[in-house]
Amino acid sequence: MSVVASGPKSAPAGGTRTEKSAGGGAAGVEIAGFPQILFTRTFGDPDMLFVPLLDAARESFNTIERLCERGEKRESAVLLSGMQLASSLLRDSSFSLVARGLAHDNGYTVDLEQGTLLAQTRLFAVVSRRTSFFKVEITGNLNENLFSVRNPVQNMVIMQVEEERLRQPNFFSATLAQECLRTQMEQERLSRIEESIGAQSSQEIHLILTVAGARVPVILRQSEEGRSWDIVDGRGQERIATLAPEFEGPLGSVIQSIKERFEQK
Amino acid sequence: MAKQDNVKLPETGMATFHGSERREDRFALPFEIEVSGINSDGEVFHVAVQTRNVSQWGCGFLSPIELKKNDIVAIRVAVPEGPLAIERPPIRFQVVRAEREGNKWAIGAWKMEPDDAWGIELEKITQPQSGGVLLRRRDGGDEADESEDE
Repeated sequence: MSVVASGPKSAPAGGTRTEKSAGGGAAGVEIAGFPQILFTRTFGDPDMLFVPLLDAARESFNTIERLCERGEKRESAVLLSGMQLASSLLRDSSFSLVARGLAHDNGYTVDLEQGTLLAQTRLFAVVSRRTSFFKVEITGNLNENLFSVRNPVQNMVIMQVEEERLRQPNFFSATLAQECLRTQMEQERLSRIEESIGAQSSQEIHLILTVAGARVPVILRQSEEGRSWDIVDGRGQERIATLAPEFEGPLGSVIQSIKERFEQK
Repeated sequence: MAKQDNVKLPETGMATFHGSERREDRFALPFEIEVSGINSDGEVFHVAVQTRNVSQWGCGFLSPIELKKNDIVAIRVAVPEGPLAIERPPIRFQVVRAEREGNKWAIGAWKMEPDDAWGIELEKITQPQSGGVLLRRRDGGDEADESEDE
């Protein structure tokens, strides 16, 4: 088994690393229960290390089951598989052993007993002239193909990503960073809406309409007596008109349907 | 070369061993150990071998199985016969030297964790060999070597 060098089971990342070796970032790889941390100065960026580490960790995880089937005690199989994983990392000269407790730009934790991989990194993204630099955690089970991306500061799941997408070149630095920032901005926008709703007790529906090529925020706001609906231009909170009465019934049905969905959920 | 016999590193420092060099007493003490690991074919091995020498943090032995530098193996003192025998837990060692010797490999290994590997006080059993174990490792750990101090 080889994590970094091209090998039959970990070939996908072999070429990528060479191309980006000058700026790949530092990282610490922790194998749960292992006495030391495996440190790399140049290969720690998730675009370079996540996939080969996932492949290697998965191979070691599968080794545990194989060894147990052949009569090895599970505790011993976990120990041996962890050693195998560490040995495979150390075959690359960019890895060395360091003491635990040091902070690293990127952190990876492989738990072979639980069968999980956790990556902690920082992403940098620019969306709509907004620049953001934020921490994320990517976590998943070694025997599954779905990974969660979390914001550890807000303790919130940002999105779930299929492994297939994680394997795309530069997924972390390009795609994921942008998506995380977009999600963050969207959540902030919803948060503002919630604040607005909180200030007013009536029901509201927010829409983004394309009008003559421009995206216009529109609010349908129920009147205080709960009968009619005002149409409000979201740009300046200006009331434009009242919704025609014949549309109030269908709109009420839509709202009722959504309410029932939430009640079922 | 400056002697560093009096330099004492904390145990975590010894385990990671990132000093420029480290010297400690080595004892020619042959006893049976069990070396375990996973070979290049992904197969587990447990082999019983005799130590050639041991120190608090390292040991040398002749392995019938090929090991490479930086491989990690689990070593434990073989359980003696008898009902009162206590099985010692395996301790992880990093291979810092591997040289072909006939149809076997002469291995030098360095302990990775602070736990006592041998369960004996080496100084009380025998005298250290002349000289000591000299281990050098470049900063970053990419060059490890073990050689005798002449």
